[in-house]
Amino acid sequence: MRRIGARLARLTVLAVTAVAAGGLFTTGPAAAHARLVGSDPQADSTVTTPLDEITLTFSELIRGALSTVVVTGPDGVRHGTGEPRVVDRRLHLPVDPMRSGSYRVAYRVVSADGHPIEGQFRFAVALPPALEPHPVSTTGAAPPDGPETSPVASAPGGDSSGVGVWWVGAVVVAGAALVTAGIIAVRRARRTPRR
Amino acid sequence: MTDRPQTRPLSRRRLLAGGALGVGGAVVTAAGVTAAIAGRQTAAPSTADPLAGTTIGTDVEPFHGPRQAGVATEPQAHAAFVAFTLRPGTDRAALVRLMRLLTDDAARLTQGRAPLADTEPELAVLPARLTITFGFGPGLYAAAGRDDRRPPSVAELPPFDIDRLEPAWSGGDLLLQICADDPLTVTHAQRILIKDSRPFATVRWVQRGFRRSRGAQASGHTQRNIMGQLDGTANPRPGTSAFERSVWINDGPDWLRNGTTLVLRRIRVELETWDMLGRADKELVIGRRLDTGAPLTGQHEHDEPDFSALNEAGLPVMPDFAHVTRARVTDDRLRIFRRSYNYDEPPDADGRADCGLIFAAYQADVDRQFLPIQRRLAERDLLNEWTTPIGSAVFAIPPGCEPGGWIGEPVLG
Repeated sequence: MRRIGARLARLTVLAVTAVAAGGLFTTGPAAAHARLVGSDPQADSTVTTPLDEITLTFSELIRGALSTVVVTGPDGVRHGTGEPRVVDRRLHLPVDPMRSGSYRVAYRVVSADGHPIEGQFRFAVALPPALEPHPVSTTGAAPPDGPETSPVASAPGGDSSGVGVWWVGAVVVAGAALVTAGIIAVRRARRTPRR
Repeated sequence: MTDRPQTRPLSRRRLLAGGALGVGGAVVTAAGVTAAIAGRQTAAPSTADPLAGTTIGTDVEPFHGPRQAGVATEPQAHAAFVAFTLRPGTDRAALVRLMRLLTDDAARLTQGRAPLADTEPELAVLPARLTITFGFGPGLYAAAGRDDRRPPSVAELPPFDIDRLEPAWSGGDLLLQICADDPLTVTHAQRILIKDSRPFATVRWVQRGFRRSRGAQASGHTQRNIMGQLDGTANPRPGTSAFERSVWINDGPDWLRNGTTLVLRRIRVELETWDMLGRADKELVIGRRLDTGAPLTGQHEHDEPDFSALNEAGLPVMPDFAHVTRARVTDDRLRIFRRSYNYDEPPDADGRADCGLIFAAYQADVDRQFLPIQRRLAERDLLNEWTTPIGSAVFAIPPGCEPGGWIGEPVLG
């Protein structure tokens, strides 16, 4: 009985919120439930550093055991590995090494009140050649252990220690230099023939 | 007075006795229905006879046979499930007396004849396909000192996280499953049987349920439950080898063979919150379309779901959390047969419904068939959000009996 009471109370609050918000009626009842409010990588963004997980952030608590997330790469291959891990409003999905290209993230999760939510977005990976994963490497990704790696801190060479950091750092610097050189080259190439 | 009503059931019984008896409940049922339809077409309306022009009230289901009626029988519109607690001191000798008495009552009532001590015999003349099915709980075997004859899987179910079981709806030593196409017939049979049980047992709980009225919908179609879904699409069909293998115990000693087991769960439906889901979301939760009952990957109700199909975004079309996905069984030996009824008690003062399902699952072996499905459902069936098991009981359905015999004889004799 207590369980239902709490659930009803929450639904009542949601309903009142929906009424107060007005125009929500046109988008159907699901609009009052959890929705995706952010992600890492962000929708339609381009990432230039290797990823080992994708994070989805929702407006409300979601249920871990009932979540399905599918990441599809440019080759039509699935890149998600293992089960998504849910902490409060965040869902983390470990991913295989990703080559440069366009990726689609499709999710089907269940909000705390049981409502299923579905959606998808895309992002692009543009790695410098030196950082492109080796074509045959499918298991070389960093194991998705340890507590949440903060998206902010996951800048190049973020969390390891020792020699690896130097190596990664060197590669990243080299890669960045290559990308910059490439961009400059392209811009020059564009400029000259056009006029 | 009782002359006229008895002629129809009698003639039909004679017809059935002419070969169909013993072939199996489903065949007998089919013959009965055929006879009923033929009778309806030829009956001339008469203003003098209240039974003219209808055969629904006078239709009978056979009582005697190797298997009890009420399992393979096309579900009747109304049901009462009555569970008893045996009184202290009800030993095997007392149980023999009780079962002889109740069997005699049932044999008469189901054929439209009043039992010996019936004080309202007029109510017995319209059996309306009445079946009375007996179930033995673990406590009955213990009281009889016959625990060695209990089907091993007939025991209290292990607890599940989703359970909110109330003692008022759980357990029981003896079960009477009373089904008929007419609620007054059910009420009358229930009263007679409870009266005759009184010296031996106390009433533990009664659950009354209903389906669509007979004739409201052509028989043989899947019915909708109180949530609006077609419920029972994946059932093995009576008369098929799948049904034989999944429902009936086909070997072993004579107290097991031709019996089955029943898991009876009272499952409250949280309609208030269920109604807050949009139609598309409800279909995702079930894995079937609400209108046709077709799986989300198919067009028609009986299309096989395709669990490998992906939508354009790459997600499985049949969600992992969908009820159909979780409950899926392909091996006949692992299937269960559901013969459930709806219940609808008075709402609370705020108008919130108290309704749900009297979920009745029959299978040869609870451990082998029911439990694996139930575990998968309890683990991640999203439908659990709107359904709450509030009662649970398990019974053996012992074999049937021939004229002169009584139900439970191989167990208690």
